[in-house]
Amino acid sequence: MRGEDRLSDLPEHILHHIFSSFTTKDLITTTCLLSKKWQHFWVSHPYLDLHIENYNFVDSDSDSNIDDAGSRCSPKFVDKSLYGHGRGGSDLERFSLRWLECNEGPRLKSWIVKAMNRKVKEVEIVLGLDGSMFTIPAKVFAKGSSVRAIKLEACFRILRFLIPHPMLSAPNLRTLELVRMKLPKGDSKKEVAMICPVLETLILKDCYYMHLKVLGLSLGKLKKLEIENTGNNRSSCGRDKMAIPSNCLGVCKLELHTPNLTTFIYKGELFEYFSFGDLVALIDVDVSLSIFFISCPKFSGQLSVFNKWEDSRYKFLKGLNGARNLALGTVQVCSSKVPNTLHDVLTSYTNLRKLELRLSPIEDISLSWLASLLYCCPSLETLVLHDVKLCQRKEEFVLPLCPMNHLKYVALTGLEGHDNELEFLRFLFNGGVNLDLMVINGGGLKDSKFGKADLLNFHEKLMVLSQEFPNVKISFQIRKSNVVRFDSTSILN
Amino acid sequence: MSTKKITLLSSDNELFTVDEEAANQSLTIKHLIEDTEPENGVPLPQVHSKILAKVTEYLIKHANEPDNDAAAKEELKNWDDKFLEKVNHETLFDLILAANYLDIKGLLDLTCQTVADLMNGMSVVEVRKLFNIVNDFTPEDEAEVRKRRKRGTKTIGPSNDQANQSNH
Repeated sequence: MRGEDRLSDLPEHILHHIFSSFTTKDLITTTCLLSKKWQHFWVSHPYLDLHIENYNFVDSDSDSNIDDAGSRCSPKFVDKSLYGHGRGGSDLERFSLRWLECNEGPRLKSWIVKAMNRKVKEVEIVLGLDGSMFTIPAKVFAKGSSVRAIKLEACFRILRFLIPHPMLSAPNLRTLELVRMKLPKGDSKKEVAMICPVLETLILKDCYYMHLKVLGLSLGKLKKLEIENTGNNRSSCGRDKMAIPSNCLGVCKLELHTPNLTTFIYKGELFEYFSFGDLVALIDVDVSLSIFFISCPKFSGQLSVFNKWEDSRYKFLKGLNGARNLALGTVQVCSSKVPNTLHDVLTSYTNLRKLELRLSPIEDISLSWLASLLYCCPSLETLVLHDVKLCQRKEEFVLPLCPMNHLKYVALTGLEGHDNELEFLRFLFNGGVNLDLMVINGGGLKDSKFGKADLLNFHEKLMVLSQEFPNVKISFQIRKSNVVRFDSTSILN
Repeated sequence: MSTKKITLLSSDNELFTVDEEAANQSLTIKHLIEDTEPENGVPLPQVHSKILAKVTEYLIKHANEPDNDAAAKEELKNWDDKFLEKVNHETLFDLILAANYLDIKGLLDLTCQTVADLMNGMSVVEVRKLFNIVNDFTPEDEAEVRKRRKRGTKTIGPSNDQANQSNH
């Protein structure tokens, strides 16, 4: 006996929701032959997701049929989809288009206009341009535009895909993401001010700022800001060669006036100058700064350059010190040779509850360095350290007694299994009187002289040690780069 | 922080008690409480206790959702995966309808995405089988639809080209 056909019985708007993540071609392939009811379902689907294949290829591909045509389509198909396949077309939720060999600007423009006529709320355009220039129609950003969220991504030839000036003050825009885009031209002083009144999320990845002196973000409603200057955003284009200048920042200054910002994510190179204004609402900060010219510990010849960079990094991190949760990536740690700015920075984070460090030590970190780091964050509740590389040298050092009354959760990865690590854990056990849970992930470090046997041995010692601290739950794992994996979550007592 | 308790009444008259914060994730419940201030529990005549048990489990877990904490988000995501892992299709569709009726955005997104994932990469025949969809096409109809779709994705009538031109 056949069961009920629950899918077909769902209300239409839920069905659209279910298929909202399908590309238009996949939607047609999957649904139009299911049964008569489904035959025209896709025509009224308010989510259009179209990937244009170089259309000479599609047109000559005489063997393709609906079962194996893949998710790519021709520009003609985009025409048909947008014009509702002769049925006019209902309101659109999302119009998403990828065209990596775009060679018809006017046609692209007509599509965007058509999508807006269908009151589209979200627009996503990923574009590679074939020699020509293309400017997004200003209408998208005008008063009365239906567009609430927009993502624009240039795949290569970054300087040919242009944004019109009205974007900077778009009255309805809530979410804006720009990938490898050149920002609009500034005024006579090369200054640009973004003042979109309801913008809540702004993402700028590998954008081009060379033509600007000031990028001002005066965004009263902005909650989340993500800036990345790494040149690493290649995945979505599937191309390796990208015509991006190596440094897109120039001397541009970043000025924030964003009193409601709660989340700030920053990756890669720093702007030459920056000012943060009052970030009174800040909660989460995640910063990964590139180490762009130091490749080895012996940078003595470049100390002045290093100091300048260190100074700028210091100012940058200090400017965000209202944050409650701080994650720092690729933090260059060199404990003896340079003054320790990290400690100084952390001392200024008076609200800090959660600290996550993705360390990349130039040299092995000393126990005392790590212990004194914790001394700077007395209110810490959560501590996460990735790939700690503690030195194995026996340290003649009495660990300071740290006020870690608030510490509840500790996670450490990349432990190798030597005695100093055990010492550090002992230090945490002793200080963390309210510690609930400790998650330890051993192994997996590159160039480690220690093996599985060391970790197993370490685990035994840890179990002995932890008997003195019965309130702490311990989870111990060896990472899978080691052949054998074992979990021993033991709740003592 | 409010710790007021809300009682929910399923279609088969079972009672479920949750914190107000958890219950408020359902806009339908939230409005019912605001409008009627029910004393003997919020009546939800469209939701069976078997489904309401799952729904309240979700609501309790997702109360005070962490906004930006990556680790907590990850944990919650794993929980979501597990939450629907052993659910059969019958329950899954009931959950979709309940999430829709109760207006719980997160649960609707999650359950809809789960159905979408089930179909991922499947052929028409496989999807029919998965959801018991009866093929009511005659073989001739089916061949015709296939043929038309194939033509339709490749050619374009002159009327559409004109529509294009007039828009420039």
